[in-house]
Amino acid sequence: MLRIKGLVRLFECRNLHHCNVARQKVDRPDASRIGQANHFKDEEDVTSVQERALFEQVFENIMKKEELRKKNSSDIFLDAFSIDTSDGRSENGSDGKRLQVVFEKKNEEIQATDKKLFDFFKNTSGNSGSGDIGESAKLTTDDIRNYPVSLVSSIFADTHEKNANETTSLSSGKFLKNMVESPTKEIRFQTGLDLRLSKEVLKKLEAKERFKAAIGDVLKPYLSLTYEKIETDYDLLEYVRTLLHQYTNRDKSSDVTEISSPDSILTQISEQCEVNNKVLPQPYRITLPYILVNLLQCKEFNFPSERNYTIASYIYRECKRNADISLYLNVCNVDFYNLLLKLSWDNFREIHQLKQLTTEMSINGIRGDIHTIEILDKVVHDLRHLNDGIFDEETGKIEGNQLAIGVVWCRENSMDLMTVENYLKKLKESLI
Amino acid sequence: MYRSSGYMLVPRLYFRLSTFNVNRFARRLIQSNSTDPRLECKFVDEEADESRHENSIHDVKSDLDTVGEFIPEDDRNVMSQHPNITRGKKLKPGRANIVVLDAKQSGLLKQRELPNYFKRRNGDSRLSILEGVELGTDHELTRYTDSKSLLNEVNGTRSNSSDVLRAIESQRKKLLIFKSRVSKEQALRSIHYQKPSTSVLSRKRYDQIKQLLESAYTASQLKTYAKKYYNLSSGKITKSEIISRVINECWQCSVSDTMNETEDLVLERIIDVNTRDMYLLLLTNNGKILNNFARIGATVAVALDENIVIVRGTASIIRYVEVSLNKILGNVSTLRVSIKDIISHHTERNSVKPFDMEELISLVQRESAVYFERVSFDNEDTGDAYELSAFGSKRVLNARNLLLWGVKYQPQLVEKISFHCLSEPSSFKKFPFTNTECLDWIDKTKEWCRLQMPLAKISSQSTKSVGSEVKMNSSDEKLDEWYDFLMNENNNAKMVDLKLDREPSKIFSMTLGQILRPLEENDSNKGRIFEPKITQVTSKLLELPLYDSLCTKDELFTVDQHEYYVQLKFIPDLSTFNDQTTNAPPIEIWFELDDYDNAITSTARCMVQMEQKSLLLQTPQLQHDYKISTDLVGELIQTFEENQEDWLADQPGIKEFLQESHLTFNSKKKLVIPRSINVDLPTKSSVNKSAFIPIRYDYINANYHRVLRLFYMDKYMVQFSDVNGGPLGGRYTQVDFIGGESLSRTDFKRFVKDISKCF
Repeated sequence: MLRIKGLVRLFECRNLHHCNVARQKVDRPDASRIGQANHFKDEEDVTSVQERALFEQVFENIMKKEELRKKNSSDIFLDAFSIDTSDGRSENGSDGKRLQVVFEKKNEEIQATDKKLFDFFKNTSGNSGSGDIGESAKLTTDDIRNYPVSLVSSIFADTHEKNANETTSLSSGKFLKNMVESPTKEIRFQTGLDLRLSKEVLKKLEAKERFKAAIGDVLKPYLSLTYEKIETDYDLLEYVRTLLHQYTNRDKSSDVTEISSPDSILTQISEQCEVNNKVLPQPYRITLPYILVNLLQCKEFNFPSERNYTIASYIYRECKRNADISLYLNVCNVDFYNLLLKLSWDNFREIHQLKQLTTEMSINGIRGDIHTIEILDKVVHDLRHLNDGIFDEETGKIEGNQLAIGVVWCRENSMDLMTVENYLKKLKESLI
Repeated sequence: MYRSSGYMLVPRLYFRLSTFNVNRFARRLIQSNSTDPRLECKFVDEEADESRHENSIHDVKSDLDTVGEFIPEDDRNVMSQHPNITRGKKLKPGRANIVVLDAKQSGLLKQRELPNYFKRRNGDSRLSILEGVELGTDHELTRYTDSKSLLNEVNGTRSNSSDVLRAIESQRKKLLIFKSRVSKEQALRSIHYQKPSTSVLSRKRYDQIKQLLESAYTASQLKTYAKKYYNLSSGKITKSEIISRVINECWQCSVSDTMNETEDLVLERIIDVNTRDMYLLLLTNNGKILNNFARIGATVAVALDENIVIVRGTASIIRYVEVSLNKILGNVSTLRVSIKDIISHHTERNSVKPFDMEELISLVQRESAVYFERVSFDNEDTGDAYELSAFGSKRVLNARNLLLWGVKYQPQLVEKISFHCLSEPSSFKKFPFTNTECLDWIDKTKEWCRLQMPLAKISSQSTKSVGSEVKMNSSDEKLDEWYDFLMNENNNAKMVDLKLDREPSKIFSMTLGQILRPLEENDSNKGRIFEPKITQVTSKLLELPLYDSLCTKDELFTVDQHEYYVQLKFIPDLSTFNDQTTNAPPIEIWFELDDYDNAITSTARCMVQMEQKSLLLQTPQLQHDYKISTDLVGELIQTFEENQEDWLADQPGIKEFLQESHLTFNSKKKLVIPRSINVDLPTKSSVNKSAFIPIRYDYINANYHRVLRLFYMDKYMVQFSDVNGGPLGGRYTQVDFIGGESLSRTDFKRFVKDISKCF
């Protein structure tokens, strides 16, 4: 949709210019300073975190190369012909690996079971019609020319450069599957909402909650020590910073190992906790996201909402900026986004922010869950009631602050509200 | 006969009575022809259209010539005014003009549906390589002249020596690859990739695969592959045997003689590009162009170090990619400018602010997908001449605009930070500020933090936090000091003296926000910014009554209580300002917006920012900081109501600006804002007589304001505004308390105390 608009605009402006020029040439010779400006209402193209990180890297690389060239611009011939120096430099440099950006068509079939999810993302990413979610270039040090010519696509489909995206989605998927089947202790999951969820969804949800509770159990020794250590919100911030640091400096070789069963992971964590409950147990991709959400939500601290927001927003930005995309994919899961949604609404009461967040979730392939519905339902309900000024039958009064009701109403807010409502509707549909 | 050939001849009829119209039409066509943007940027699918367009021009031209031939010399002038007067002379019929239509145009042939392959999944436009990539029109750039800063323009032509060197460099790197290191696993995997997607192959493709397996892998690799992937154990067989077994048995491929090899034979083509083109291809809309190639089935790899693009695909696809790449790269717009000049013309005179040009350039590059290249001439020393290139002139001009924005011209501003807290500064910590969508493109890339008092944890049993209850207590001496600063502090940058119809007065206001500092830097007060969006304020504000609460309760629910404005910002081009010692103030034009986000021209107000003093109060013990400021803002023009007869007669430049611009902020329509405006500044000359000085202002950016006016303590107006500067300008909310005009010392003290009491 967006793109079509872009094209239409392109043609429109050509034609318009065509007419304008004819007119202006007659009337005013000085038409050169007319320029077309950008609309401030144009939303910035929301791109997936992965894509942004990639092109950031491409940009840095080109710039670095230019920098090298500039250094020798006094004698460019020397640069071109002195094989030793230039080669030595590029070989020694951190980016000495010959980088290639590869664009190719993904022809992975979408399985019927994923179709629903795919449609959901397509409908809610605000980019309908493009249908190319996840379609993005790749940056690789593999030379395409080392591969035979007749290879058209999916050359690097699963190269040794581990595709973090796949591993995480795979891991969580597998976990859920295993959890559904594994007969560990029963934990009742109760939804506060009257939503008839499909059996499968409920089962998965239950399994997820059960797994979370199990992790919480095994991490208890570590958590209670951490609670004691942290005195102020600044301590918490510092602690979060070290955790993120620890993750990025982890031993990456363990990332590619086979995904073990949830039970063995749980035992692995509890063993580590027994040995030393001062450090975060491995595997980080399971423990780190849990710990971060837990620290921001726990009752032990009771920091005011704005302080929690500062920290959550800090984590969020760090994840998005980090060159290691797996940090974002692991940490910014549904639970984290739910927390972020809640905190931003608490602090700013801006429906626009919620809209941005939900769109971003869809673009990055994160589907909301039952808690997302819960949070958004409340927001939408509050706002709708504000907007419509519905009378409460029993008290005969209008709910909420009367003035506030009229005051917050405006075009943009109601547009954004509609988008969020649409997201909510689609989300419910995809879960049922 | 015509029908069978699919063509039809249509003789063009010559209507005498319509000569006038044709004439006018032709004139317009001819005029527009020279500047027609479409002629300058043609794309493959448009060429046919284009040539038809040109044909019709020639036709009409020749019509005119024939008319002209039969009119006496001295009558032609009259003719040109009254072209349909022929004084009874009979005109010779013009040459029969023939237009050849093809079957489709004549309507004989039913329009054929496009094959689904080329169709968008749910759109109706054809898949284009430029899909999603917006190009500007070129005439804008070619006709753009910037008095001094624009040295000259180059379109497409480039200095050759560096190109040659680049080619050598890329060739050398290519030649120096001796071996590839491929692990066994990788080899097996790569064999598996050879598996064709369809099992029916053309003869050539079959041979290609066979030859490839033959040349690229060893027999043992192939055997291991067959074993591992298909559990096919092969004993002692030759290499060619195992190859045919892999192809025929494992992959179950068969040859079809009816299949044309252009459909599936895959080729590779390496295209040399220069860094500039590589940069543009990769970074314009995040590689959208190359992604679009990939969508039609090509595999495109860009080797960053070698300046090459490797394309793989079937012959027709490669051809298509090549042609389109050539077309696209041929349309790169280039502008040669002296960035140093641009910057110095827009930097305040006598300024002591340090300025890093390189940093600004790299920021602009990052933001605009425009490639900056330093150019040097053989005989001149032009260390600061740059060539800006991008797809479409719009991008280039936007980059120039960003340069002006990045200069941050604010000679009217005097700012001071005052640390206002009783506790030791060491007890505060730096908390990161990460809400970057509030900041503009310049500040967005930096890391910011705010000083704050750490809060101790409170276990669930104890009562609520007391931290938020702390209020700012200001002593009388402090308030005196602040008042003195706001009233008496002198501005270093000398501003030109303006003589306005109405003498402006100082407005006192107080804004809530956060003082941010760069994360790495220490205690120097440099580089601080004030960010007005704060947490937890909305609900508090919405308890206040509306400023003009004249409306009934019903209206409260049905009428939008906000006011909508748009603010256009301009800074002067000081090279057009004759006075060498003083600075010209920045100006802003404000409009009200109607229900459809169109600016209402008659509401234009042109504000001159003559003086602005800001005192930033840093209060780390509180949730937010304060800014107390006085503004001296003059109005350059009368409002439309004041002078309806000849509004703007004294400011023809502004009038022209309003006529030329098309200020609709509804994103469905085109927004046109002229890039500069001519203003006559009324100045006080030495004899205290007013004189107008013409000066050119350059447009910087636009902000959208949604304002809600509230009433605090039955005394002060509170402006709760939502400001949106687009993707570049950032989006934030702002709370301003208006104290009034020219407050006395006591009034000022009461104002500050009143505000800090509750907020």
